This record gives sequence, C-alpha cells and structure tokens, in this order.
Amino acid sequence: MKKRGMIEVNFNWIFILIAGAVIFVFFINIVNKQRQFSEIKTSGSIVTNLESILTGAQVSTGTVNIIDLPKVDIGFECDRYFIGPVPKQTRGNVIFAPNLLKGKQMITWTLDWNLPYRVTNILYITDPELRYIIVYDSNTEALAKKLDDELPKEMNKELVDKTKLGNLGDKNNYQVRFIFLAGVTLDATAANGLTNLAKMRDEDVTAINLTEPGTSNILSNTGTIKFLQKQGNIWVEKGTTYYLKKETFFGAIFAADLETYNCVMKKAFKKLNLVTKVYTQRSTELRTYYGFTNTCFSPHDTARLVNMEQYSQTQSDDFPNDLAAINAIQTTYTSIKDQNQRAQLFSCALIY
Amino acid sequence: MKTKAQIQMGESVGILFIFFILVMFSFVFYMNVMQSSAKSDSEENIQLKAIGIAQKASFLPELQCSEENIRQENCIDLLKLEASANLLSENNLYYYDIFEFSDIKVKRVFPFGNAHEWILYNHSSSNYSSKLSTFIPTSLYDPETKKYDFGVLSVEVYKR
Repeated sequence: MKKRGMIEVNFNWIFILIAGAVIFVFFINIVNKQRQFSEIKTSGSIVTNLESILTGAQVSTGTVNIIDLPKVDIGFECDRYFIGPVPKQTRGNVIFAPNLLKGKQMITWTLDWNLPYRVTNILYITDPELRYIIVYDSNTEALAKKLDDELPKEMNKELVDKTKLGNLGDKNNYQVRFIFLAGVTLDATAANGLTNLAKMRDEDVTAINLTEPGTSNILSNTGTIKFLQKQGNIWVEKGTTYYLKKETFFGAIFAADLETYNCVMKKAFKKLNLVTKVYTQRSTELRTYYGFTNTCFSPHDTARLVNMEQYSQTQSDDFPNDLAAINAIQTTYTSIKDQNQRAQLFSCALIY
Repeated sequence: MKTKAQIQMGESVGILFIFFILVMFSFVFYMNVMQSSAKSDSEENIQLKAIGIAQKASFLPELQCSEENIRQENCIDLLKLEASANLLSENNLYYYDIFEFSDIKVKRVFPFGNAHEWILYNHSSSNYSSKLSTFIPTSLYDPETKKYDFGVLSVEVYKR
C-alpha cells in the first residue's frame, strides 16, 4: 500500500504537467494568432505601398522604376494581384506581368497606348531574376537588336542567334521566357533551346513566337503571336493571338500566358471603346458648333470614330477573333490621324 | 482542518491564477496598442488612396486636354468633360474599379458669374466612417472658343 506522501508527490507532478500544458497551449495560440495577424498586416502594407507605386508608375509614362521589395511572393492575374492572403483588384488597369514575382526587386515600365489618341498607359511588371531570351536569325537580327534596345536595360535579357540555341545554359532563373523572332523548332533537338533547361518545371519555361517578323528592323503595327510552353524537352503550342502596335507586343513578352494576355487585351480594348466614345461625342459637338458651311465641318466627321467604337467593342467582347479585325482597327486609326492633320491644316480644333 | 499539501496546492492554484490574470492584462494592453497602430495605418492607407484616386482622375485620357496627342497637364477639355460626365455614369461599374467609393466633380470658378459644376463620378457610400477631400486647381479649355477658364477638380474618397 502506497504512503500518503507518495500520493502527494505524484499529484504534484500531474498538476505541474496539466498547468504546464495549459500555459504552453495558451502561448502557442497567442504566437500563432500573432503570426497570422502579422502576415496579414505585412501583406496589407505591401499591397498599399505597391498600389501607390503602381498608380505613380501609371501616370508617368515612358519611365522605368526599380522597386525594392521584401522577400515575398507576388502573384499576378488578369484582374488582381495578391501578396500572401491579401488580394487587390486591378480590373481598371492594363497590366502585363508574369504570374509570380519572387525576387527582392520589381521592375515597372510604363508606355502609352495611342490609337492615335492616348487610350491608356500600359504597365509592364517583371523581376530582374526572370530571364528573357530573344532568338533571331539572319533575317531578324536587326529587329531583335531594336527590341533589345527598346526593352528596359534593367531586364535580364539576352540576344541569341537561333543556330547557337544548343549552347544555352541554365542560369538558375525561376522562369525563362523565349521570344522567337525566327521559326521555332518544336521537336527535341538542340535547336529548340530546351536541352539545358530540362530540369526546370514545364510551366516555368514559356515562349512567344512572332510568326511573320519580316526583315525590317521595325516591328509591324499588327501581327500574330503564338504562345508556347515547354513539355519535357519539346515545345507545345498553347494558342495564337494578335498584337496591335508594339506596346501590346511587349505585353505578350511580359504576360504570364495566352489567357492572361488575351484577358488584359480585352480590358485595353474596353478602354479604347470608352475613350473613343468621348472623342466621338466631342467631334459631334464641334461639328454642330462649326456648322455645315464651315471648312472645319468635314474634318470632324465621326464615321471613323464610330467605326473605331464598333471594332473596339467587338475586340473587348471576343478578342482574339482574327487578324483582319485587328488590321481594321489599325486602318481606322491611320484614317483618324489623317483626319486630325486635315483639321490642323484648316486651323480647326483638333480631334485629339 | 486543511493539511499542508492542501495549503500548498491552494498556493499553486493562486499563483497560476495571478499569473494568468497578469498575462491577460498584458495581452489586452498589447491588443489595444495593436488596434491603435492598425487604426493609424488604416488612416494612412485612406490618405494614400485618396491621393491615388485624385492622381488617376487628373490623368484620365477621357478628360485631359491634348493637341496632336501632346497632353497638357492640369488641363481639362470642356467638351471631353461634357462627354465623360455621361460616359462615367453609364459605365459606373467599370469606373468603380478605378475610383471605388468616391465623388469626383469639376467646378468652374472663373470667369465669375459663369460658375458651373459637372458631376463626373458619384459613388458615395451611405455608411462611411470618414471622408477625405482633395482639391486640384485646373484649367478648363474650351476647344470651340479656344479659351481657358479656371476650375477645381474635387475628389472625395469615402472610407467605410
């Protein structure tokens, strides 16, 4: 039979264990809650700062900014970006960005999209740790060099001759984007450029292919782009789309994939539609003001602006349908530009 | 009569009780400090948002003056303004993504006697906790007469 003292000692130990466990659980709970709260707070503060940075970048065009970031992953989709659990809508903005930014820095670049009047500022976002490889052949070398000059110098980009693709090494980048200005070899040969990138995840190695780059060093105003993705050691085509002016071709370089590119383009066309409506109404007012007999009446004819409204509405609903529709927008904006010059010639109020 | 062990146990429970009370007090104090810091952060955020929205509004291609697509800063084209006032109200949902809960107005203040107010965007929140106003002086260009008036772009951002 146990003595009373022994029972007391055992009971003390059980009591200490229970009390210790309660204290332990209590503090673990507090630490966990605090960690979650702190993560949300940090993400929220980064989202707010990023929002201010993006707003600033969007209103000052033609600028490149390098932004230092805390070591966080920033995910981008067509209509939003998110840092940790905190999302932020970007539905009203035209932003081309990779689906994930992991680096400690972020490059923002802004360009105007003019058709021929300013429609919107396009914001491009990337990371210096993301690798861009511009592939050319003898016909497109000049174009490749021109594109290389136009893209921000802060980007991690390189020019590679198509015949030397087999020598391409893996530089441990978390994503690689090829820009083919020459025909792509889809099959598993050294010429497809994938030989030394086999270890990378398929979704991290993607490409765009400008199907008809021409031989000039000037990118044509419209064109067809194919999106490709690595699958093992071959390229697989993900689909075809179009660009309208070089600003949207750059968009394809920065966009994560075909779906995101098309979605952002739809937003850009929606904005074109809205801005065109303003110019149509403005020209209608000016036409009424000048009157039928005035020389300024005809330069403010709204037929082309109305066409632009219709074309942009179609693209905002169904982009990408066909290249002819994109070419129609290009022809219309050239006509509006001519019409504006005519207005200037007659010393009338300009269209834009 | 209580035994020595019972007294010891009572002491231990008492100490634990006081310990937890102290922890609770510290926790409540810490939470209050955090809450006030979150409040000041949120105040700063709303100010940043207000400035951002004002910036977006003043650089809107739907409003800005331009000649041969060369833009004039701090200038609103009156014909574009007339057109945009309708456009923004017809596409309220689209512009909500840009301007959120805010009111954007343009008021002509000069020449005197010709005052006029254009309501560009009106998406005020009925149950807002605070409101921040930003006023941007701007010229108003009339392309018909090629004359400039003077006005104020006012942006009121609501915090819910």
